[in-house]
Amino acid sequence: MSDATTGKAGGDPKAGGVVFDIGYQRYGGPREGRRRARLAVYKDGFRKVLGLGRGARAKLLPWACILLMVGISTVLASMAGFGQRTLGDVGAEMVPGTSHYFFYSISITILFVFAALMAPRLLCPDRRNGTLHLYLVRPLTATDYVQARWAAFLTVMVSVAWLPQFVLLAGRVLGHPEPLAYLDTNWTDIPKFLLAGAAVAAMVTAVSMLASGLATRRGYASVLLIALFVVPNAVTAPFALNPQLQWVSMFSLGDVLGETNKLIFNGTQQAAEAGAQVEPAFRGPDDMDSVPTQFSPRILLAAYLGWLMAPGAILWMYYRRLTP
Amino acid sequence: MTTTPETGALMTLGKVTKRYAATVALHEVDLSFTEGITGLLGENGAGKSTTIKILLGLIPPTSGSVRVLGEDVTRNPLVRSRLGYMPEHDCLPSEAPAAEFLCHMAEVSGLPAARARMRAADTLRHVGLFESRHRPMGTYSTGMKQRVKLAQALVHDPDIVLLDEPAAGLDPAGRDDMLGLVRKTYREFGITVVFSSHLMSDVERTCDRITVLQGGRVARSGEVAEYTAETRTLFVEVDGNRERFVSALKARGVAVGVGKGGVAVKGSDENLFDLVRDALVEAEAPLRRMAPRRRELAELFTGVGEDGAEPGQGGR
Repeated sequence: MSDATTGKAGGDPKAGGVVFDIGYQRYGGPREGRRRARLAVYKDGFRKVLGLGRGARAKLLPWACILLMVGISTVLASMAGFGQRTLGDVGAEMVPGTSHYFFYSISITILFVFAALMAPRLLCPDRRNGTLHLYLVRPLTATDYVQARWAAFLTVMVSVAWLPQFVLLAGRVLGHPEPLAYLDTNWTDIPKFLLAGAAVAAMVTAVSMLASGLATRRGYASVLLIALFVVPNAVTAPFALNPQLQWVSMFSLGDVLGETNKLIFNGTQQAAEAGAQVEPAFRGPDDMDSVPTQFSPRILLAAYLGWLMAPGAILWMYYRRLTP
Repeated sequence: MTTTPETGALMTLGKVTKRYAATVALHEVDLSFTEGITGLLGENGAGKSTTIKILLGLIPPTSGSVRVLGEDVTRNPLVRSRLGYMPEHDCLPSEAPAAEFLCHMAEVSGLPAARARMRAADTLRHVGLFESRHRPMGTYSTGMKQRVKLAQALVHDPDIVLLDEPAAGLDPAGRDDMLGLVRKTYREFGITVVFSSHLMSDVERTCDRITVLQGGRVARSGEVAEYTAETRTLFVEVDGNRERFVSALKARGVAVGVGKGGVAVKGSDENLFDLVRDALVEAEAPLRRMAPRRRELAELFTGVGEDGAEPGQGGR
């Protein structure tokens, strides 16, 4: 199966080269099985969401959303820094929306739009193009595939949720006349915003991956997700005014996300206090009704876990049944 | 390569039955696949796809046993790292370049990233797409896409590759190229091929063995040569006076079948060639071609016997 071709370059007979066609070579290297397969699907998912290795069009939407969030947090960080430098800590707190809690209130909507636009990239094209079949005939189960895609999107979502918070933190720390003193006083903000970011990212990931798994077209999945965010919010809003019927809000994705955010930041009191200081025009979507959370942490946790686990379970069961 | 010790088979189905609700897709199928190129023939609904899915471990059989490379593939998905599969339908992401896609598929098959890159480039060279490897696959012709589909089935260097209608949708030149690649896959690369098709000519030209499925049962199974072996029938084509030639043959007591393209002359008489010669002279029929007639694979389905009632369809 091998042959050799000799050729001489230029006029120098010594400059001749030999090209060997060594034919087909069997692979004798390592085969790393499911672990490698899952890692490959995870890496591919991460690159797909962010458009890495693709043209400018694929990068436009994800990076526009990320830059928007970082841009907002940069502006807020600058405002907080300016307030602290000029008016001290009290001044900084008077600047609307510069706390980590309020930043999530604003950014949940952008995060959700990001998820609605990007999550379908992970599951829809593979099913639509039939590429999913090529995955399932490899040493990879449908569960492995969905888990790897899920994990890839969760990684992106957590990163996108945390990045602007770190920018905001940097602004607040560096804007303070005594950065270390600020950190010493407010260090608890860091685990809170990390936890809140992870909680928001996990729930948005669960819902958006389910919608993407059920729709074959990316556009349909995006519309379905936006509707899922907007419609229940609008339907349940009137019930939120009646304390007896506030439980209905647990069916609203936006409300559950907002309430979870409040709970993590110990927000019942903080949100009410901060909300009172903020002019309505500056309030985030979570604060439009200015109703402090009335739910017990248990009910909220149950609602959160329901929104997290039910979509994950449905997606898993759906993919388990898929065969080429 | 792991085989069943007694038979040397790479894949075996033992009394496999597969039911979908009231439909029986496979009924007590006993099959074994050994090294070489095996054609899986059957009409739509015969059970070809179900057989392939069971062999890949994608669906469990309702009853019976399946061994692939010595393993129970339904319980051990790792066996699939030694299998390749080329589906009939479209399965390629249009925006991805072939090199990147193949590299990814090699990794998903368990190869480390650096090895996957090398295998992807090598495999694309072997299927003749090395120059186009960085172009998005959406810009490829149908023939090129079929080659990428074959390449993704080979990129991890499997022991067995299952091809589902690999030449579907190709023009004659593309079909020849693809069938050439399929032959090369076994003859040069040493990878055993199971080749599903409903086109007799493709299987006849490419495979060493065939298995014919009909209504979920194995209708026939064996070497292609057995089915296409010479029969005791001569196929004769003449340029004129065909009726006189037929009459002259009949006058000599020779059994004759007339088809669209020529005349089938049947008999085991040692003097058959002399009788044909004499009949040609008597009828003044100019001889264009005379050859022993081979049985066509199509006859496996149509039930045409050795006597070749339709010789015009297949004289050689």
